[in-house]
Amino acid sequence: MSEVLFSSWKGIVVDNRDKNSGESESVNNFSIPEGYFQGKDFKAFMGWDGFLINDPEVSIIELCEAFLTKVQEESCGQCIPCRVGTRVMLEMVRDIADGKGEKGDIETLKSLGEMIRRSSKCTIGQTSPTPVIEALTYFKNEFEKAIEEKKKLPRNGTQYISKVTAPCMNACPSHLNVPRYVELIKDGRFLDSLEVIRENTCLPGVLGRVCVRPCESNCRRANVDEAISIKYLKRFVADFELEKHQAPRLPEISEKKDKKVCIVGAGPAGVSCAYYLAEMGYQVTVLERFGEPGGMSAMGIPDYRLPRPVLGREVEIVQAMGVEIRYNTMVGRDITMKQIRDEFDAIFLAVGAQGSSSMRVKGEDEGYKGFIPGVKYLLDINQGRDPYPEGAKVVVVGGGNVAIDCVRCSSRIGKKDVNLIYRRTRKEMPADEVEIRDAEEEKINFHFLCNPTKIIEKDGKVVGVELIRMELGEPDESGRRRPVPVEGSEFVIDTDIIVPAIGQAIDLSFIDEDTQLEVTRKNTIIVDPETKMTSVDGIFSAGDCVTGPGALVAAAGGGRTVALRIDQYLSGQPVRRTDEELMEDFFSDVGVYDEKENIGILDGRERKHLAMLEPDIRKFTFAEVESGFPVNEAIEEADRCLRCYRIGLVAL
Amino acid sequence: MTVHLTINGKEIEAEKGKTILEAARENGIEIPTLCYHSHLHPIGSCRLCIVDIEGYPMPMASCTTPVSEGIKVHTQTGRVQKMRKEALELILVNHPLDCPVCDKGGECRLQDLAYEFEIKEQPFHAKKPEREVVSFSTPLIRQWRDRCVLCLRCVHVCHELVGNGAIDIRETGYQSVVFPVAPERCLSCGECLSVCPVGALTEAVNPFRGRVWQIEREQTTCGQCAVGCQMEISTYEGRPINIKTDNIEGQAPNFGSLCIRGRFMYDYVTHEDRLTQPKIRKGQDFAAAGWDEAYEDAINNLREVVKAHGPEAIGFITSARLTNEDLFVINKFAKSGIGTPNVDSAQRFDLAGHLPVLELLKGGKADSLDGLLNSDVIVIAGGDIDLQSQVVGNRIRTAQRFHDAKVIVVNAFKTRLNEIADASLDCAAGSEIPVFYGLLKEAFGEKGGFGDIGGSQALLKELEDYSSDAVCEAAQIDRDMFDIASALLSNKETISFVVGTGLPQTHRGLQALKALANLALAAEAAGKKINWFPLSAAANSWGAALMNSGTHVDASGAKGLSCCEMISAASEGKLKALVVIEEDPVSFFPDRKFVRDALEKLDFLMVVDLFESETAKDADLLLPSTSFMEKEGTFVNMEMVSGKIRKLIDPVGGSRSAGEIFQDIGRKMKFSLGDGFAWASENAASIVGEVFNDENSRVAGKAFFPVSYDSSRENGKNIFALVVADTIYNHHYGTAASHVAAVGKLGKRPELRLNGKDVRRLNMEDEHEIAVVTSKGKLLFSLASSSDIKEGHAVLVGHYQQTRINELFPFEFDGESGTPEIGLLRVKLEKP
Repeated sequence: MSEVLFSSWKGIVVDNRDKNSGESESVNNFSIPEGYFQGKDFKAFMGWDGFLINDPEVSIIELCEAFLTKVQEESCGQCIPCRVGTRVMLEMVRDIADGKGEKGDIETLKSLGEMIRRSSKCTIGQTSPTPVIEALTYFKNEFEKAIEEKKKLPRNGTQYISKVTAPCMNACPSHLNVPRYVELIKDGRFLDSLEVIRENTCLPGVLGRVCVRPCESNCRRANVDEAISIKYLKRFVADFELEKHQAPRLPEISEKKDKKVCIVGAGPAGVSCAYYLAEMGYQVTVLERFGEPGGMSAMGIPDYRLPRPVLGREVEIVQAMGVEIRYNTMVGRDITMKQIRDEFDAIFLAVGAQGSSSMRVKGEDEGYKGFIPGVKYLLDINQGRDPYPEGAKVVVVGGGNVAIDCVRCSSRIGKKDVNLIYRRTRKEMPADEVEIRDAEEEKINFHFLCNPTKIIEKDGKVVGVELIRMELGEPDESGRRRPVPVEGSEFVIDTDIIVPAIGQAIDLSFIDEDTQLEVTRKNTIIVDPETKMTSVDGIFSAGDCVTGPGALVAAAGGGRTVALRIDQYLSGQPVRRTDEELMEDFFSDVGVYDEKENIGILDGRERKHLAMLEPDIRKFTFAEVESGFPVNEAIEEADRCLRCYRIGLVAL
Repeated sequence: MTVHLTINGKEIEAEKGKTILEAARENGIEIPTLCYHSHLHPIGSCRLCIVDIEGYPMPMASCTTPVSEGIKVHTQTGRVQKMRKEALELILVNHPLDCPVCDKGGECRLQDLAYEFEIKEQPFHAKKPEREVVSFSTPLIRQWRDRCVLCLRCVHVCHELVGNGAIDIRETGYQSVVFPVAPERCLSCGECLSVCPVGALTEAVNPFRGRVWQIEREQTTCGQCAVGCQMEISTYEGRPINIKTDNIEGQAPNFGSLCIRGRFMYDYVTHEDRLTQPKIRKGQDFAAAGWDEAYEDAINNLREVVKAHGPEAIGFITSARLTNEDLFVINKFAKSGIGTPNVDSAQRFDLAGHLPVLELLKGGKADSLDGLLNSDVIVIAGGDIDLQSQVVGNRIRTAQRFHDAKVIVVNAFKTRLNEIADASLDCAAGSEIPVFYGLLKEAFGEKGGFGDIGGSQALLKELEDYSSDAVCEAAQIDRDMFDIASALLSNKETISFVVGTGLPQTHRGLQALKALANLALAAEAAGKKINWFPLSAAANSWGAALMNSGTHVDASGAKGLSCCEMISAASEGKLKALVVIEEDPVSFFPDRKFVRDALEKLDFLMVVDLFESETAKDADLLLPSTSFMEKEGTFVNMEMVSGKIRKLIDPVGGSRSAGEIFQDIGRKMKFSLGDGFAWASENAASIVGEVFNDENSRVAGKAFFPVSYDSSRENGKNIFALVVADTIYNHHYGTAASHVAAVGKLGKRPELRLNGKDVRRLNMEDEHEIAVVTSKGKLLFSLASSSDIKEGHAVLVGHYQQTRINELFPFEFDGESGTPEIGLLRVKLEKP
C-alpha cells in the first residue's frame, strides 16, 4: 500500500490530486519503491498496465513522450501498427509538448492507440498505448491546455530509466531474453537463437535439460492454453549446434585486463562467473576439487537427465575463452586461502552445498557399511562405481530431487528392490513433479507418511531400518502440513543400503581461521545483498553456499551477478546493482506476470512433448531418457509464443 | 483430421493444423494480406489479415491462427476493416509517390490494397526517416528503402529457404530497415526480389524496362540446369526484360524458386555478340554468307567426306541444351540421313554413369524432387549442390525444416549444406569409394548378407578391407562423423541420395558412383526406401541421353563414338568431319591443346552456335543458331518430366534453330526425313513417352556393381589434389556465361583456395599469384586461404572459360561411360 498522487495501475484509478493529505486514497496493487533507486526520488512510473505519479512536478506530457520514445527504441519493427503507429503517436505528443499540438489530436491519439493495442503482433504494441490512452483520459486538461496555449513546455531535467521485460524474462534468475530466442527458433534461425541465450548464460544445454524453469510458470501462454516448453526449446538449439557440428559463436572478449580472479568451485555459479569475467578480459582461474567440472550439476545429476558430454562441452567453451580450471585442487589441502588471497585480486567462493544433512537417527554416525549419504551415493554412481555392490535392496530417505535421483539411479545400477521413504505425502514432495512421475513409471516403491527412527545393523552392516508412521498436523512455516509421529506405530523394513537424502549441507572446513568469514547458523555464507561481498573485502560468494541448496539456474544467475560486482570492484566503480538490475528487481516487486489476465485469443494449441524411452527400457540404462525436439516440432512449439515484451519507465 | 468452423456464417471444413487464412482461401473467402507468402512460415507482420472470432475480445491474425473446432470467424467486421484501413494508412506514411517510375507499378500489392481500401488522404504524419544509402547484398538487385513496407518476406525467404541470412532487419521502430548484414553469404539467387510485394527490391541487371501493361509474359522452362524450373519470362520490344515466378508459385518442380542463373542470366539471348548470319572460312578469316550458300557449303563438304572416307568418318557433338525436337532432327539427319552412328553430347559427363544406376535402382525411372521432402536421411556427394542446382539445395533445407531430415555430406571441401549436416565426411578427394564402402559395411554389412542380390558374396569379401578404422584413416575423415553417418543410415527409413556433378567427374569417379549405388542397393535390401537424384548441368541432359542413345532414333542401334572418342578419332585421322552444335570442346574438354590439334586435322569442322566460341574460331563453316527463348520445344528434366519451352521472341538476327537448320540441309540432301516442327515434336514426344511408359524396364534380377578401387596416388612435395569447384554463376559449359551482364556485375575473379596451413607451408600469402603445374603446362591464379579446404587440397573456383583449367588436364576418359576426368587432378603448386 502506498500513497501516490495518481495511479491507473491495472485499470484501478486512484486520484488524489484534489484531495487534502488526510483524505488521500492509497494504492493497493503497487508498492512505491522506497529509497530504491540509490537515493533518487521515485517520481513516476509508466508501464504496460498503466501509470503512477508520485511527484506533482512531473509533467504527464513529458512522461508520455519519454515512454513513447522508449517504445520506438524497443519496437522490433516487425509489425506495422507498432512500428509506425507508435512513432506517429510519439511525434504528436512531442508536438503537443513543443506547443505545436492541434485540436483533435487527443481524439486521434486515443483512437490510434486503441487500434495499435488491438492489432499489433506482440505485447509491445498491445500494451504500450495503454498508459498513454489513460493519461489522455485522466489528464485531459493538461493536454488540452498545452494544445490551447501553444507554448513549449519547460523541461525540468527529470531523469528516466527504462527497461524492456517479459514475464518469463523477469522470472528467470539469469534474465534470459526468452521471447527473442524463441522467436528466432520459430524463424528457423537456431544458431542465432543460441547466440541470444549465450548472452545470459554459458550453460544452454545444461539448463535446457535440468532447469526448474521459473519462466514456464510465468508464461502468459498458460493463460490461453499451456505454457511454452521454453526449457526444451533451449535444449533444442544447444543440441542443434552440437549435432550440426557448428563452432560455438563466442562472445567478443574485451581487452585483456591485468587483474586476476580466483573462483573456488567449478559448479554452475563458478563457471558462469568465469564466463562473464573472461568476456570482460579478466584472467580467471577456477579451482575444482574433483577431476571434472560441474559441481553438483555433474555429481548430483545423473547422466540419464544430463549427459556428461553436454556439460563438458559447455565448460570447454568457457575454457576456450581463456579461463584456467585447475582440477583436483582442493583449497586447504592443495592450496591455502592465504596463497589465494596473495595471488589474486578478487575471490569468488562458489563451493555449493555438497554435504548431506543429518537425519538425527540412532546409528547414523556409526559408520555402518551400507549407510551412504545421498550426495556421496550419487557421486559414486556418476563416476561409474556401484557405491556398495554387496547390497541389493535400497531404502532412500527424502522427498527432494536428490532422493528421486538416488532411487532412479539405484535401479539403473541393478539394485533389485528400491524404496523411497518420505514423511509427508506425495503432494508435499518438493521434487519436480515430472521427476516423481518418471520414478513412479519406473516402478519405484514409495512409502509415504513414515520416517526413520533407527538403523538396524548386524556385524557393522546395515540390515534394516526402523520406521515410524506419521500423520499430517498443522501447517508449519513453509505452509506445508507438519508431519507428526504416530506413537507406537514403529515397524521395520529389511534393507542392505540406507541412503539419507533429506537435504544438503555446506562444508566450509577449507576456510582457515585467518579468513574472518561470517556465516549463518545454517553454515551459509553471509553476503551483502547489494555487493554480493562476504564479510571479507574482495571475497564474494553466491550460489548454494549462500542460499542453501537451490536451483541450478539461480546459482548460474548468482555467478553472473557476482561477475558484474567483481568487475565494478576491480575497476574502482561503486559496487552495486546497475540500473538494469534495479529495474529487474523493481519489476519483480511490481509483478510482471498476472495469472488472472484474460488474454482473449483463441486457445487449443497444445504444448509439444518430448519423446521418452519406455520405462521398462530406461530404468536399466543411463542413456538420456528424453530425446530432444525434432526440428519441425521445435518450430511449431516456438510458434505458440506470444512474445510478451513490455516496457516500464521510471522517472527519477 | 477435419475441423468444422464457420467463416462469415458459411460452414466449412478444414484440415487440422491449417490456418484460418488457408481455410478461408480454400473456400473462396478472400482476406487481404501483404506479408503472407505461401512458401514461407507465416510472418504476421502486416496485420491486414486480422479477423474476429466470436467469444474472443482480441482480433487475431488469420495467417498465424490455426483453425479450431466450432469457432465462428468473421473477416469483415467493422472494427477489423477499420484497423486494416488504418494499418494501410500507417504503411503509407511517407511512402514515396514514385509509382509512375517504380518498376512494380501496375503489379504492386500496396497499390492494389490502397485502391481496394479507397485510401484517398493521409490522417497520420511522421517525419521522414533519414536513411543512408548502402548497396544491397548483391549488385544484381537494387534496394529502394523508402519503398519498403517491411513485410519481411525477403528476410524470411533468405533465412528459411536459402539458408543464407545475408539480410536482416536493423534498427528499431520507425527507423527499422532491411540491411545486408552478411553480404558475403549472398548467393544472388534473387528469392528476396521474387517475394517483394512492392518495388523495394528491383532487378539491377538489365537496363531495358517495360511497364507491366506494355510487356508480354509467358511461361517456359528454364534453359540452365536439369531441374527444369518453371518460370515466366517478360519480353518487351523483342527482348527478355525479366524473369518472374509470382503467378506460378504452385507449380512443380521449383514452386516459384529460382537461382541466380535462372533469374538473372537471360540477357545473353539478345547480346550484341550473337551470331546473326552464316560464315564461311576464307583462309584465316570468315566471310559472311547467305543461308543457301552456307547450306551448299555444308552439303558439299559432308558429301565429300562420305565419298572419300565413308559416313562413319563424320561425327556430331550436340549440346544438352538443345530441345528434344532439335536433337531428334539432328539424330535422324546423322543416323538415317548421313548414315553415321556418331552422335553424342557432353551430357554424358554428368549423366552417363547414372543411367545404369537408375536401371538398377529405379528400373530406369527417375524420382520426383518431392521425394526429398519426405526423406529421413539425405546423403549428398559430388560438390556444392547450392551452386550446381540451388533449387535442390533449397529443397534439402526445407526437408530438414519440415521433416527433420538428417543430412550426410561427403565432399572434399565444405559447402553451405555442411552447416546443416549431421555428419560431414570431408574425405580426401578421390577417396569416396572407401567412405561409401565403409558406410555400407558398418550400416548394412553385418546383418548377414543382402538377400538374393547378385554379387553379394563378392561384395562381402571386398568389404573385408573396409573396416571403419581403415576407412577413416584412408579417407582422412573423422571417426565420430563416420559413426554418426552409419548409424543414421542404419536407423532411418527413407534415404535420398543427391549426387552432384562433381562425383562422376572426379578421379575414378564412375567407380565411386557405382560404390554409392551399391550402398543404396544394400540399404534397399535392408528394407529402406531409396531415392536417387543425379544433378546435371544442362537443361536437357536427360533428353539428350534419350535422343542420342542407340535404338530410339535409329532402329539398328549401332553404337557410335562418344564425344571424347570422336576427338581421339579426329586426332588419329580416322574422323574427318565434325559437326559441333552449341558445344565448345576446346574450352571444356580436357587438354585444350590436344583438342585443338585434333580439330585442326579434320577436313571439315562445322560449328552451329549462338556465339563465336573457342571451337568456332577453328570452324570451316559457322552457322548461327537460337536460344531456348526463340523456339518451341521440350526439355526433359532430372525427374524425367517433359517441360515445354516456348518461343517468346523472334530469332535474333538471321539465326535459325538447330533443328530447323538440319531439317533444311536434310531436305536439300534429299534425305527422307519428315518435315516440320510438328513432325519432330511428335517423334520426340513418342520417344520420351516410350521410356516413361515402359513398365517392363525394371530389371528382374538385381546385382551389385563390381567396383575397382586403386588407392595409389602420386605423392610428393607440394603435390596437391586440385578440385575444380562449381561457381555461383555458372557451372555448365555454355558460351552464355561470358555474355551475361550479371557475371560482369558480380566481378568475381577465379581463385585457388587452400587450407591456411598449406598457404603458410608454401611460404605464401593470400592474393599472391600461385602457379598450378602439370605435365601439360602451368596456369597462374590468385591464392586465398580457407578453413573449408582440407590440407593437401586446392580448390579452384571460377568459370572454366576464365580459368582455362582444361589446359592442364590430360586427355583421358573412362572407356565404359565416356566420362573424362575434368573435376580432379593431382597438381604441383609453386611460386610463379
